[in-house]
Amino acid sequence: MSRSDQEGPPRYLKDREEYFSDEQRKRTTVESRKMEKRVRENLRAQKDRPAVMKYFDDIHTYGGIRVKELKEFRKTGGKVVGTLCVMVPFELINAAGARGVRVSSGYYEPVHPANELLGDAGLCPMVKSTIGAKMVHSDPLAEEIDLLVCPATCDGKLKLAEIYEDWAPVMMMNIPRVKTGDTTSRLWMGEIKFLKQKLEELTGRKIKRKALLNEIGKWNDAQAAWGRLLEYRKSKTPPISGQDMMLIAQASQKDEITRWTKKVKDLEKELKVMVRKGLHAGETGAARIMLAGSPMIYPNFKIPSLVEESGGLIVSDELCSGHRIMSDPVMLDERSMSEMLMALAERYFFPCTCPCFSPNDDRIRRMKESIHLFGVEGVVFHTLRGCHLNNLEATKIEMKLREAEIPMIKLESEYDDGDVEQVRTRIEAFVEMIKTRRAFSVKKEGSS
Amino acid sequence: MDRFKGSIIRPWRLLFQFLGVAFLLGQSFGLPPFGTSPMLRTLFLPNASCRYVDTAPTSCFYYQFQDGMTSGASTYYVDVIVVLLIIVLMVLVLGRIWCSWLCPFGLVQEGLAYLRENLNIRPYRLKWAHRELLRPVKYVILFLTVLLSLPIGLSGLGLLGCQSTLALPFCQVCPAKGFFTVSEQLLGLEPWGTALPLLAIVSLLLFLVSSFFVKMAFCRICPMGAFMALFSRFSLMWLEKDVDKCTKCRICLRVCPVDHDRVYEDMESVDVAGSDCTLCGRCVEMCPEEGCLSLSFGPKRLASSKKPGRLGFLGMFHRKEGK
Amino acid sequence: MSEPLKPYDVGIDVGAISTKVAVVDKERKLVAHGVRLTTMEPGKLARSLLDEVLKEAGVDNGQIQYIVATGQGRRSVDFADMARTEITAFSKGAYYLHPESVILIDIGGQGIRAMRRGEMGIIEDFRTNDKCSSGTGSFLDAMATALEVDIKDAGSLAVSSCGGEEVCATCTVFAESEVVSMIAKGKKKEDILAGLDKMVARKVNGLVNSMRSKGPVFIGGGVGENIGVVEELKSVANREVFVPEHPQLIGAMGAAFMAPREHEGEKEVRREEVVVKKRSFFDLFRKVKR
Ligand code: SF4
Ligand code: SF4
Ligand code: SF4
Ligand code: SF4
Repeated sequence: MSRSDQEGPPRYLKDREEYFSDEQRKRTTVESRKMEKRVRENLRAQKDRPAVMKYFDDIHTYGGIRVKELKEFRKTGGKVVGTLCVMVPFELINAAGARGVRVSSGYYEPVHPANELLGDAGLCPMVKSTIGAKMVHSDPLAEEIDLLVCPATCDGKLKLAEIYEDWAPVMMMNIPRVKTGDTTSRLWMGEIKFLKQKLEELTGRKIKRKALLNEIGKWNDAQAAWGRLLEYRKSKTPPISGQDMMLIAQASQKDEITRWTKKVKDLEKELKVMVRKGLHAGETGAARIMLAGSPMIYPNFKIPSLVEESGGLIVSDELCSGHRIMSDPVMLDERSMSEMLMALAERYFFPCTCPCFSPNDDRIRRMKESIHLFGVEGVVFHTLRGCHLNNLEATKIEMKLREAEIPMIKLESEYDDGDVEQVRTRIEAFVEMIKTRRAFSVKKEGSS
Repeated sequence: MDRFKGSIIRPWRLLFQFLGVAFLLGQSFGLPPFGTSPMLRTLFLPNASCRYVDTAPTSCFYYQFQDGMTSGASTYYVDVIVVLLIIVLMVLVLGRIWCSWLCPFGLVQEGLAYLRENLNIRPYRLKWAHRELLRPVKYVILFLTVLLSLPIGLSGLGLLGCQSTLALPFCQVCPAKGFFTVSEQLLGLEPWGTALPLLAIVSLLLFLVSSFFVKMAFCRICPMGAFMALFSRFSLMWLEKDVDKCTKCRICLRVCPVDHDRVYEDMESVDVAGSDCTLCGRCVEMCPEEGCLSLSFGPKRLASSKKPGRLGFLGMFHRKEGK
Repeated sequence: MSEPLKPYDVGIDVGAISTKVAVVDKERKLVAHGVRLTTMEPGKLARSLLDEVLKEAGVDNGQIQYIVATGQGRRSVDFADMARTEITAFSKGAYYLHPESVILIDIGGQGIRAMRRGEMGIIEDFRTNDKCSSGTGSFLDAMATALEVDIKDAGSLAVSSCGGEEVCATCTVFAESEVVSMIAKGKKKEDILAGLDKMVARKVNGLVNSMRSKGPVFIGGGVGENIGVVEELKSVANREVFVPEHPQLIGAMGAAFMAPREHEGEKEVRREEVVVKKRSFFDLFRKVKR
């Protein structure tokens, strides 16, 4: 199952370091940096943005503080584990004394080197960008990892991990994609135990019961803090924008979790003040939008920023790059090692509504529940071109949402800026549609 | 600290359970406070006293059930019907709340599980298939009891030896019998060396060992529970589930001491208690979704699940948020 | 409003290929219109086109109440009072011209948009073509150029064909080479055109079907003027197809219709409250939900 310990020759590229020219590397790096800066600036330009958000910006900054910290950490013998998915238990990684970072890439430029090598295989751009960034070493964060843990969720990631192996050790996790209760649970439990063993090998120290308990506690604290932030999104005029919330959620997968929790608590205090002052994000009477579909990894914030620029406000999301990172706590019944592992395994697997699972009716139900909780007026379903799973699920979800009379728009996007204007038009039309509906429904209520 | 969810129901339950045990011991051995009041001593609680303690004024309902069937033919089974009606009525109103709030067996098993938990020994989790196999066993035992004791009463065999053993078939393998006969001798209430019921002692040992490793092992085959389970699905006491809020996280199934899978699987019903749930409320405590699971008495929610971050101290009675 | 409404509203539709201006009165009648190819400076173009149209119709600038811009270049029309997307504008236009139509198809220069209309002309759902421009106005333009036919005659020429050729490619570039090879094989121009129209009609019909409604179709946008496509669509779609008088102007007219009127102004209404799901008392005595 795992090939990470094989010290054989590279499987894809014999001359992996010579394959790409220096010039190409440089261009990718420069473009990535530029793009990140642009997106960051764009985020900073939001009106009435809480000051604490600067901290989360810094965590995400290209080659910023977090990269430096990890470098230091590695110099002192620490290990960094990269993940590609929300289904990898960070608690376990931390309990082993390692640090976890999600290395899925949102940079547009690395798609090109990946295309060069793989051909335009109709692959999801996120996968291509992640490989590309590693191939030309353009993402400083991804350069710091000692092991990549990759759950084999979709076809793209399955093969991505194989290619990645030329550059870094990879551990695949076998995701049972058909959720059928007990058998599935046992299978996944085995994978988690295997991960534990791998991590122990990597760091050279045993994962202690106390340490794991402690880490689970920390992450539960973090989730509780996140949950309190969510309450603000339920208000009529949320003081924080959806982009910022996504940024915060994604920061948790890069940052030290205790520090993250502290900052989120600070943010909460600041939001309280903002609410008292009557400040809010987005324009007045913005359409309340829910984002769904394929992940949008920073800095690929094209869709959310377009939504919020076109008179919408993202009040909820069901993305594995957003709320889903922080949505389900670990509930411990007993505290022996294997029970804790089981609790962890189930928390990361069963409530996950990734479209790679079947049956996946939970996703629709959970979306409907959030729609109800956050007063969502329309759903923007984003799919990356080549993400078959989300593409196929979109129709089903649209049908179900239509029964519930919630408008949904499906947007397909690529990792480039070419389609911005087209997408903008469609989002604006969608927002206009929501606003007319709203005016109409109020009228109807008034007349009858 | 709200890192791990604390209990909101368990302390209350423990209180009731200790009261149950105090009642049992009091009635059986005449200990205060329950044992000393003559009025309380005549009180009949389903299985809070055992016939095998000589000083016990009443007995558990299963004894009366068996006894009634063997000796009741002449009185047209009035006694047994009265006893059973009381039980059925109780179940219809309160469900199997008896099981996890008062039953002494339950407390002993939980105590053993608590011991194991603190020794950091992992519980043995039954496999799905085994769980399914075990499910009908309790009904089989119930049926066998009737099958054995009813003919004895009808045929009027009246053989004393037979009556005390075969006519009370379940008592012979009941761990309580083992416990009380042994403890009576140990306490000197019985002369040392009177014939010990071997079967019951073996079953007591099995009971102790199995419930140390498997949560609520005895409850899975308990015929008293089986009798209550026959009616509990019509009870007014609900384990209410708001399916819209459920995230299918499997926590409820994992923490359920009796592996009642309906609480997790059932996505249609409002009341998911079914026949196996003992209404212990563990899942309600642990479910992380606000208001997803609740213990409710008809329309009144007694306690509901809360988000981990915001748990009230001993919040037994659920107050609705907002409106 | 205190002062009386002025009699005219103007809609400006800055499309990808051409810019349309429509002047309508308060009875939603078209008073004057003008069409021009979009240039690099759409704002200036719109201004000059509007002035021209107004002069021709003899309407004074002061008689105009609202100017509403739409289309891809709507933001560059800086003198407009409001800007709305072409999707909303088109649905408004279609609703007021043919209220009974349910599925609205707008085939413009670079995009095909399909909408389904609900009550009061509010769209319930819409779809647009992604990136690919096949089947749009510029696609047909390119084909007409390849065939050396004036685009204005392309429709009537295609209708005169007795049996169309099969054009398979949907990409503009590939279709062009297919057309060229057909010419080389000596196929008749009208047959090729009919084949192209059939292909466009099939594509549009796919969009129509994806709207999941059995209602009648309204077709507008520049390609709506091409009667070849419209006839083909009528035969493929197997349902009623409405074609307005000025298909190209629907967007601009719809934009003008959106100008606020006294009695049915679209107020921006803040959402009142997040509705709280209530537990009905009787729910509780039903043990099974749903
Ligand atoms: S977006 Fe879709 S294709 Fe891409 S990694 Fe995720 S699941 Fe796979
Ligand atoms: S099932 Fe039997 S042993 Fe278990 S709690 Fe109920 S009555 Fe007691
Ligand atoms: S614990 Fe609650 S949310 Fe989780 S599966 Fe059970 S009922 Fe659903
Ligand atoms: S389903 Fe819940 S209340 Fe019922 S026995 Fe299991 S944990 Fe206890």
